[in-house]
Amino acid sequence: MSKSITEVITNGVFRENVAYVQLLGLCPLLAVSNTVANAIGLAAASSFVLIMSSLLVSIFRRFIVSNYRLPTFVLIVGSMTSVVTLLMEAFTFPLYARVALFVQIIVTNCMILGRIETISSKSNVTTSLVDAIATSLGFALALITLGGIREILGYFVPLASLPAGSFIVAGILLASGNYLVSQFRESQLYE
Amino acid sequence: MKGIAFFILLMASSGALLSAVNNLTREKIEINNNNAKSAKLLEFVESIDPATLCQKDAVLVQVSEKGYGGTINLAILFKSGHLNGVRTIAHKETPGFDRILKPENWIGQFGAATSIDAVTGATITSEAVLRGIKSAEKDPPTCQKVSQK
Repeated sequence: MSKSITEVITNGVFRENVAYVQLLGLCPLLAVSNTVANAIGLAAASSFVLIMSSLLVSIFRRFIVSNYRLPTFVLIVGSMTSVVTLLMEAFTFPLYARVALFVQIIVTNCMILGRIETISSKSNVTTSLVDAIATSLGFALALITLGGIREILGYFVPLASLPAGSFIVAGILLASGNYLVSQFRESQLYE
Repeated sequence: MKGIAFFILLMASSGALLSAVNNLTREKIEINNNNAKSAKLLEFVESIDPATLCQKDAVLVQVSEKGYGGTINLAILFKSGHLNGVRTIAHKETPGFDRILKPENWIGQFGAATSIDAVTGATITSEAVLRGIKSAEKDPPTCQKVSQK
């Protein structure tokens, strides 16, 4: 791994954005993104779990035998999720009451397991920490844009804040993102 | 061997971490839950003090019944010994199926309608509510009975 830090960051936030490019972690993304406040709450909780788990896995990666790496990862992610659930229930109760279920299922979020498996378990502490922060930023960006658009749109088109609306808005965002990327690639091709 | 030893160590330290965080947050969580419950109750009745309610010949009963996802806590209001209304205070039912527990929905009919059926698709939830109401109604509480206790 000889990627520069800026490269890791742009990859995590934009080019390999977990939600819009890799299409991971969509369940909480679609379910909770009806308001900006909910989106920020879930983004903060997911970021905490991802960053702490990445850090722990990369610190102890020499002790993790490949045969039981998955139970080890799940144990670490599960512990971190429980910690964040308890902390939110104690200190941000009104927010917790709205997003509780989706905080608890962070443990099964394939975004986190994917990052740990591909990056943290193979890189040094700095790289995996930067990657985790960048991935979290990318996930937060995706959640908050979707949450913001749905909240504002919900005033005019009530469908946008309903569960079905999240699929439609996310689909439109994805399609326009892909269109922009393809236009950009084509323009580079003809230079 | 090294891997197994590390895994066991990791399990032990996860357990220790979780029990530490649990100890740290338990009191606060309990306070939060109680506050949420009394806020719900105050939306339903003007006061949760039995003496104040009794001035209007009303008695509030709280029952717990086992639902689909866990315990359902119900607050049941009796006026002059008759069922007046039911509200859900806390529950762990599946999101989506829990809509019948909202006051503007199915559970809001109690005290107004005379015959109420279980809800298709949410049988266990609605039967738990019916059970809870029946157990409270079996011996309709009045202010005299409450003050005797």
